[in-house]
Amino acid sequence: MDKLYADKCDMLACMTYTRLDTGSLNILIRLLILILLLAGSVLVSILLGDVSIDAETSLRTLFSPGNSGSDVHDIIWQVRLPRTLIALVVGGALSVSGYILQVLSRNNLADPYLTGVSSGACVCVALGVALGLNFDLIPVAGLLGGLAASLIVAYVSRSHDYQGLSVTRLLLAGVVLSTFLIALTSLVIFLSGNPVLAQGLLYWLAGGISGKSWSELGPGAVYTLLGFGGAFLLSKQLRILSLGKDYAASLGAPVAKIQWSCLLVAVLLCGAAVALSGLVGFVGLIAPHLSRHLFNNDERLQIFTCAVIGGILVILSDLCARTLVASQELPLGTLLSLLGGFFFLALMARDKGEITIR
Amino acid sequence: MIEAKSLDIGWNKNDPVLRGVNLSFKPGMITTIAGPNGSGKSTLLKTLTKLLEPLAGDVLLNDQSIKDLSFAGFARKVAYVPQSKDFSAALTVKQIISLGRNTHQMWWSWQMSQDDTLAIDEALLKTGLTELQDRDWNCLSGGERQRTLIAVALAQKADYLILDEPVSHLDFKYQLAVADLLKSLKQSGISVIVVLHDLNLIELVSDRIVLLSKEKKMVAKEGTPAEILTEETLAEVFDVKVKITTLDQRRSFHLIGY
Repeated sequence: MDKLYADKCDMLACMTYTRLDTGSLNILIRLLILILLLAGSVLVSILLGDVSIDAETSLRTLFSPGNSGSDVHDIIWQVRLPRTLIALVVGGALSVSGYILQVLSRNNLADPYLTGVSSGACVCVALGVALGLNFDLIPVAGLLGGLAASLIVAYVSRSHDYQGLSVTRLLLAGVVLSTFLIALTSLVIFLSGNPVLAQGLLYWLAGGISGKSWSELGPGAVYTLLGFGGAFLLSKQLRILSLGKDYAASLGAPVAKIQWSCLLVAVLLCGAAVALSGLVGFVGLIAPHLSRHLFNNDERLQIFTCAVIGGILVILSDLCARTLVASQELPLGTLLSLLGGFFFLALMARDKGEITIR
Repeated sequence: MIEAKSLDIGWNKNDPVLRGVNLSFKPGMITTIAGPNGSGKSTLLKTLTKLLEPLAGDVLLNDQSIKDLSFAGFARKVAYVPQSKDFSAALTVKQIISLGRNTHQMWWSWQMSQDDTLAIDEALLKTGLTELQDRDWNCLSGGERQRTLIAVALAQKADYLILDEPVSHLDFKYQLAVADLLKSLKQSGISVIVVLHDLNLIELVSDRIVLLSKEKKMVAKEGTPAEILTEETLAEVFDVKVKITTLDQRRSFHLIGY
C-alpha cells in the first residue's frame, strides 16, 4: 500500500511544479544564490545607464558617498541609487502583496491590483489632470482614489461567515470594479477632450520610476517595511487560513480578523508601490509563483524570497527599460509584462500538472 | 458539559434542518449521533462547534454560551474533526498536525514549546502516522488524510472531541483502531461526540446514542445502545430491515433489505 502512495507521490511531484527538493541544504544554496543575484542586480543597475561611466569610477563613487559635487557622484548617488532602491521597494511590495492575496483567496491568479488600488488611482489621476489639479498633488489623488476603491472592494466582499470576507466575492468585485473604473477613466479622458491628459494617463498605465528621488523613496520604503512586518506577523495565520475558513476557525483562528488584516497589508503594500511607480503589472503575479517554485518551505521564507525575487525582477526590468534603446526610456510596466508573460507561459507550458497553492 | 438548548439549526429560518434540539453531552462519555443521510448530523456538529450559528436557541459550554467565547478559547476546549477535507496544500503531515497547537501559542509565533512537541509526537503515535510525518498531504490516501485530521484534533489537547464520520475512508483495521482510540480517550476523561454510520461500530463504542429523524426534523430518540439499536427503531428511522444476532456475547447487526 505504501509503495502505491509513494508512486502516487512521485507522480504528483512530477505533475506539480511547486514540488522541488526541499532539503535544507538545497534551500540554503538557493537562498544564497538569490541574495547574490539581488546584490548583482543592484550593482549592475548602478553601474549601467544612459551615461557611460567606467566601472572603477562608479564603484569608487558608490563607496565614497561624502565626495559630492561631481557629475558622476550626482548620477550615481542622486539618480541611479535611489532609482534602483525604488525598483527594489516596488518589486518587493507588489510581490508580497500578490503573495498575500493569492493565499487569502486560495487562487493563484490573484494579483495586487484586484484590490482596486490601481483602477481607483487611475480614475483619480485622470480626474485630477482633467480638472487642472496641481501636478505635485496628482500622486496623492491617485493614492486616495486607490484607497477608496479598495474600501469599496472590501465592503462588497463582506461575508456573513465570521463577519469576514468572501474570497470569491473579493476576486469578482476586484475584477468588476477595475473594469468599471477603467471605463470611467476612458470616459473622463474622452469628455475632457485633452490629448495631453490621454498621453499622461498612458504613461501612468505603462508604469515607471524615472525621475524619482530619495524624497519619494523614504515614505514608500517605510510603508513597504510596515507591510513586510505585517506579512511576517500574519504568516502562521496565513498557513492556517490556507486550509479553509471553517477548518481555520475550528483550529481557533480568528478568521475575520486575519482576513481584514491581510487585506489591509496587501492594500498598504500595493498602495505604496502605485504611489512610487504607477502601474507596474505582472510582478505581483509572477514573483509569488517563482517563490513557491523555488522555496516550497514555510511562509516566512516564501514572503522573504517573494520580496527578493520581485525586487530583482523590477530592478532588471528597469535597467532594460532605460538601456535597451539609446537616449530613450521604455515603459517599465510594459517591458515587465512582455518579459514576464513570455517567461511565465514558458514555465507553464513545461509543467503540465495542477498548480498547488499553500 | 456541552448543552444544546431548544436549538433550531440549518441555514433557512423558515425551513430548519432540525427543530427543538435539547441535548446534553456529559464529560467522559462517547455519544454517537446517527441518522439517515440529510437528517442534519453534520449540521448539528457544525452548530455545536461554533462553525454555524443556530437559527434559534443556544449552545452552552460549561454553562457559558459559545457565542460569547472566542474561536481560540473555544478551540482550547473543543476539537473538531471535519468529514473529509481537500486542502490542496503542499504541507507535510507534521506541519498540518502542528497547527493543532495554534491555540496554545501566540498567534504570530512559530515557536514550538516542549509541550507542543510532546503533544504532536503523541498525536502522531496514536494515529500511526509517525513514519508518514514528512509526507506531503497531497500524497496521502483518503484514510491517511482522515488519520491526520484526527491527529490534529488530538494535538489540540481539548476536553471535548467532536468527529464527523471519522472512519468513512478507513479500512477495517483502522476503523477498529479509531474505535480503540476513542475508548482510550474516554478513559483519559475526554468527551467524544461522533457521527457514525456502521451499526456494529456504533454498538462497539457508544455509551449513548442520539438518533435523528429526517422526516420529523428532530431528535427521534436518545439513550443507550441497548435502548436505541433495536430492530423496530432502526426500521422506523432508517426505513430498513435489520436483523440483530448475538455472537460471543456481543450484538451483531445484519442488513436484510428495505
